[in-house]
Amino acid sequence: MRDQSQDQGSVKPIDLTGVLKSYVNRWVALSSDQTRVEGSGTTPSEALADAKSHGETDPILLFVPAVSGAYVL
Amino acid sequence: MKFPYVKFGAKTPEGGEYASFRPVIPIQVRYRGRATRYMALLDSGADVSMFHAEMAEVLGIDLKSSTEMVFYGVGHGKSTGYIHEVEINVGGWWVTCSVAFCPGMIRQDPLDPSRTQGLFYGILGQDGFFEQFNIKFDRSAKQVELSLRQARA
Repeated sequence: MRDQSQDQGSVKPIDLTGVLKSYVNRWVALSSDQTRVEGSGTTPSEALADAKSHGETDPILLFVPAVSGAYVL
Repeated sequence: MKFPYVKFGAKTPEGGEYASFRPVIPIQVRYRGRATRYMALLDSGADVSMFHAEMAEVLGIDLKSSTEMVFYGVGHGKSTGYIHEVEINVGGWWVTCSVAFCPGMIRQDPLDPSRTQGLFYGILGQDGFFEQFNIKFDRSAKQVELSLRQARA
């Protein structure tokens, strides 16, 4: 697994706002470095299968809601 | 292990737009040998950890076979989740953690089903997760550092 984490030094923030814009209402599978969408679908399983068909062996799942906002959780 | 903050943005219920950098990290979740990766928010204000119910299917979990629990949020009522114990890998460390898998993390507008509302990612909360790690948030540097409190036997 190769993500953006590091043991030492600083890490650079990631901006997914543009990357996810075309995937509203879908589950997406990000590349292992969290910079690209490698697959998408209406379920997590579909997104994983799509990513794997594109050669991504270690995808990371998330959902892209149409509506979100400032949360206090 | 240091992780970068991640910026997420979407339309707001009022029709505007909102984006923010958040301490959302990649984790690996495992249940009875089946594993997948998932993004999750480090939420110091959450008592428990919550994942989308859809993740239960990926992991081969029978969602409603376990204890049901009701959760309360600020301002918008309550939601229900089903508690299952999973293993979570963060930065190479595996911990066991109880997680509520919640159908309500994605809600559909009854008048427009394409208008989903909810969270992009799961939530890692105090009980079960934060208690196993030292977590240092650095909002100005937009990074968060985790280390395991106790090596797993």
